[in-house]
Amino acid sequence: MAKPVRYTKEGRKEILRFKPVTQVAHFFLFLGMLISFITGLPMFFKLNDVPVLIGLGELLGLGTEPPTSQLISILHDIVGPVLMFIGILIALAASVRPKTIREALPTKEDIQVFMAIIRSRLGKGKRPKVGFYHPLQKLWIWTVVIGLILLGVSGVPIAIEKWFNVRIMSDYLRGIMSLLHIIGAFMFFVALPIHFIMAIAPINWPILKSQFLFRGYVDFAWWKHHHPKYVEELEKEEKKEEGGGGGEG
Amino acid sequence: MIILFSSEALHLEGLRQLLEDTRWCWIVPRYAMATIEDLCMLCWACVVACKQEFNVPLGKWRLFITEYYFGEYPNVAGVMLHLPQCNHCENAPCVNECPTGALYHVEGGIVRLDPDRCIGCRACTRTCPYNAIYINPRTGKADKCSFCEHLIEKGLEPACVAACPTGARIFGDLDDPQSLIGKLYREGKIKPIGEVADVVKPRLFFAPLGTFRPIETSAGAFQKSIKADTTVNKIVDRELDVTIWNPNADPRVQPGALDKFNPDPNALGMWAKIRLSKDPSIGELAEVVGAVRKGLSRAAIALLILVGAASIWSSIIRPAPAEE
Repeated sequence: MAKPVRYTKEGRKEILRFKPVTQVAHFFLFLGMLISFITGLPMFFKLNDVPVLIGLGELLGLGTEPPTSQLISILHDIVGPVLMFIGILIALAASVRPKTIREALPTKEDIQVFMAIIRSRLGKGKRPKVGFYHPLQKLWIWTVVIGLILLGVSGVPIAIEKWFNVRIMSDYLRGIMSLLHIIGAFMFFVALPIHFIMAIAPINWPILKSQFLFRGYVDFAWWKHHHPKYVEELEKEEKKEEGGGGGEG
Repeated sequence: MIILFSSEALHLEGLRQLLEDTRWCWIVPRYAMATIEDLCMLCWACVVACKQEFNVPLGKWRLFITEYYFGEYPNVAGVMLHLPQCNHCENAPCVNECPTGALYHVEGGIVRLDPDRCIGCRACTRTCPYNAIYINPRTGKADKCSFCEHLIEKGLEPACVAACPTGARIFGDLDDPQSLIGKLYREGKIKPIGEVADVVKPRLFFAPLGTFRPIETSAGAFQKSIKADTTVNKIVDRELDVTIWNPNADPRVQPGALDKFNPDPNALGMWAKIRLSKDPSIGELAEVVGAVRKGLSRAAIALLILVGAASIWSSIIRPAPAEE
């Protein structure tokens, strides 16, 4: 098991952000979602019935209208979902714990914290203390979870009908399913770019490094600056453990 | 200065002549071929000429005449289609499917097959809705009608057109205001075959029996009343099963060609059969789906712009807030 806190050789304190299993799951989800996202973009964004990202589609082999290409079909229908499914399985089996879910559940406090953040951004009042998850991070998590469920439930029967040349849904149900797929796609087209931009933003480079270099630990100073409440909780636990240990000894 | 034109605007006689006279631009022709069935007397000269021109192997055909009969005796009518022949589709499924790029469009809209690039994988024979492509047993590679490109280049007519004694086969530029095929095309007398034609846009047309000369006869037992409407419905709206017999059929890979087509073939290149729903609620739902997709596209772009602007404003323009 990875310890929540560790010290480097130079004596710097680091706090765990990603367990190794979480990193593996995230890599599968990252690859799968990126593939499905990029191949889905040209199919989704049609303004006034003009496919505005058709150039991206041509790059990926979606040269014709209607799309008849094998490459984009294989990527969007099979490669992406299978990678995502593997990632979800790993996450559910090994990474997600009740504690993690409890941390991600929205509370009334989150609204207060979020309003305080906005106020501080507008120059009124001080910055509030943020826990392990920022309120918007929680919103993002549940957006993606609901979006994944919507896309999975609607996409799998559509893909089965498309690939195996069968009819398993009524016409009306197929319309509903495409509606659900569009709504799920909308959630992802909003959530994923924000996630990517946040990952690339300079303030998050410590966390990006820890993710992509398989370190999993992030510098204490970063935690202290961005998630002070979580650091305080950790320190309290440490003190308790130390105190308890001393009592026994 | 070369401008490529291939549009409906060129149907205007004056404009086309003007453009050609100025020599500033180079007009790309839209080559097409048509069969006027009223003139055809089923002499098979076109098929023989094609065989002779290309030395097509035994049992395979670039061009064939397939006859279909419908109705009940004595009121029987027939259609003769020059099928299978390559339709040189504008949105050709074979060009999209070919993995090596051996099939491609050249100037004039002709679908050219480069035998040097062909690997004989049969992707095109499987995809072609008209079963027009065959595998040449001598070379093991695909082969099909080329609209006699080598003859057109020299200003000659394709072999089948030149061989037709009655002028039932016509060939020319669809955009040319002087060409017969262009006139018939603009008058709507000639039509491509099948529902799939809306998707693939073929360049092989047919003027079905009765288009120019409705047959009304009650001579003897043969009480016939054949008008263009009935035959057009038979061949254009697919009431006819055109897969009954196909000389190029490859039993290993042929799906039911020229059946009812879904405009979107699946990723395996199979064309799914469609059931057209007549339920009005489905149409309403389809409109709702389209509207939701349109609205959500705009909402997604607007939201991303909003978030981007907010993040730029709060992180770059405005200084960071004070620490607690």
